[in-house]
Amino acid sequence: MEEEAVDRVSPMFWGLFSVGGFLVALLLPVFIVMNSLAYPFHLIPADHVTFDGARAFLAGAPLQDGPLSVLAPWLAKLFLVVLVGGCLFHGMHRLKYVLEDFGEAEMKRVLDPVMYGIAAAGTIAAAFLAFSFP
Amino acid sequence: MALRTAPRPAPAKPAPAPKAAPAAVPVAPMPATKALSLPATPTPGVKTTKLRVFRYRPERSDEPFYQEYTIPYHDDMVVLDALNYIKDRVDPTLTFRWSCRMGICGSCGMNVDGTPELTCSTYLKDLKKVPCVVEPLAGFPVLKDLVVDVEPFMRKLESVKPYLIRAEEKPLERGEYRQTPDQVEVYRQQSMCIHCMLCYAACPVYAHDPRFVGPAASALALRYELDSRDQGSAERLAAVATEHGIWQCTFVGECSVVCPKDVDPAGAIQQLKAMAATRLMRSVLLPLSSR
Amino acid sequence: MATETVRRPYVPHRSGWWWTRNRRTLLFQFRELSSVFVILYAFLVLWELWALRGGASSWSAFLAVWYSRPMIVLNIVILAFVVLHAGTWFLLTTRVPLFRIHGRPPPAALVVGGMIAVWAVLSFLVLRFLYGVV
Repeated sequence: MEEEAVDRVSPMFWGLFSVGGFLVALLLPVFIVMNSLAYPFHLIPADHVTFDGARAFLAGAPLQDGPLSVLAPWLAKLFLVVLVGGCLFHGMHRLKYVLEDFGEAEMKRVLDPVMYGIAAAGTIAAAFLAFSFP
Repeated sequence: MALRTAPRPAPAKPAPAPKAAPAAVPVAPMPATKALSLPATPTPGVKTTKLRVFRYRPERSDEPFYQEYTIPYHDDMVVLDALNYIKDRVDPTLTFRWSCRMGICGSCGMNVDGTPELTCSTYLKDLKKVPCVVEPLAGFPVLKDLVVDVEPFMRKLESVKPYLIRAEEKPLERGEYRQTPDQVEVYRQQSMCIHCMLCYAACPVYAHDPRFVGPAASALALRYELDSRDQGSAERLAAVATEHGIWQCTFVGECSVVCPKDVDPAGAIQQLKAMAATRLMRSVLLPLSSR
Repeated sequence: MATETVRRPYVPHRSGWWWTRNRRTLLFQFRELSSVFVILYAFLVLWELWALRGGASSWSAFLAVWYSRPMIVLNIVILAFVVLHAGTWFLLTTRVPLFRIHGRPPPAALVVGGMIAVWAVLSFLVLRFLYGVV
């Protein structure tokens, strides 16, 4: 059997997929609840979701008066960027295999750069958006 | 290891007769083999069962077809018994592989009612449907009837370098490579593989792309990776960490479900992914480290 | 090496719907399709950040959609798939032992229990230090 070259690209994306998988499993549930469902289900008051409240979240309001105040301008933004990046690289890797499974083996050459490209673009967009706030 | 043929020993002298002969223990006569004692054609009073068997005779037709056989049935019949009955008494042209009939040689793997099984270990009474549908192992090219082409599989086994690789061989005078029971336990599970290929038949990735190295070959690679005596990580991981190697696996896990020896090839592949990814990270971040 | 042969192997075809054949493979495909919802939520968060960056009126318009009934239903569906991902993910990780006890991997229940504990701790930290609740 002819020897194939060692694949150095797949492990990288598999690594991102794995880290993303843990981020999604461990952090996304509480984030979805707080970000999308807590207010309509009356678990948090309205001042969390007003324009000022949302900006306060990004500015790290809960940390500002404590010993961790140096982290305040960073933590929420970093959290969002890491979470969005994790979701995208994890999701795109998995979805890529689902689509390749339905199609022909040669689809890989087109799908790989498109899907990982979208994931990278989304992560960069998240960083740009999150850190554009004070 | 060369066989040394010793000269045949001279026949021993008969032992002297004991002083008091023990009382003879009554032994029941051996029952006749059930299959041979069954009639060739179904007779009234004998339970029967039906099998629907995949046939492919390339010398006659490009298209496969199914053939139904009604045969006598008894409760402890396995699928292989049924096939052998058909071949012995009904249709000698039916072709299939089998050998040990006790679940250790790995020859008799086939798709039974859509699931890859060892036909020697699958009881007809446990099957839910009549007729029982017997087809060749899924995903493999069929050569004739229930016989599939195993050559690519054999080459895949070779390709993972399934032997101990040493950086330095220990000279014979220094003795054996010793292992504690714990060290053996680390790779024992993957060493149980009987190369029956049921895992390949269950794998949707392999069915889609036969270039995939597959579960059994990967489990074999892990068996040597985890062996404390082995020093060939670099070469072996290079052999499996390829585009059509472990990276094509999507952890469906069906291979481990059908494995008759609980090898867990799915888990083995994920372990190999972790090892290969760690190795690559280490070589990128610490390029001067020797391993 | 092989001698001349007149073999004409019959090559079977695999359907793209192979996963509908049994319950395990159906669950596998649902697990993989959770990736769609994870990617979707990442893009929803990007939209949310974009709307916040647009100012107070852009944010109110966004909230009207964000807390509409269809969006809440969608978010519950997303959450359900994320929980499916988390559950299957924890179970999958038990097949890759991080350490061995007398050559054997740790018991699966211990590993899953550990992951759930980590999830609980991380969720608590998010609630306390990012949202200032609890």
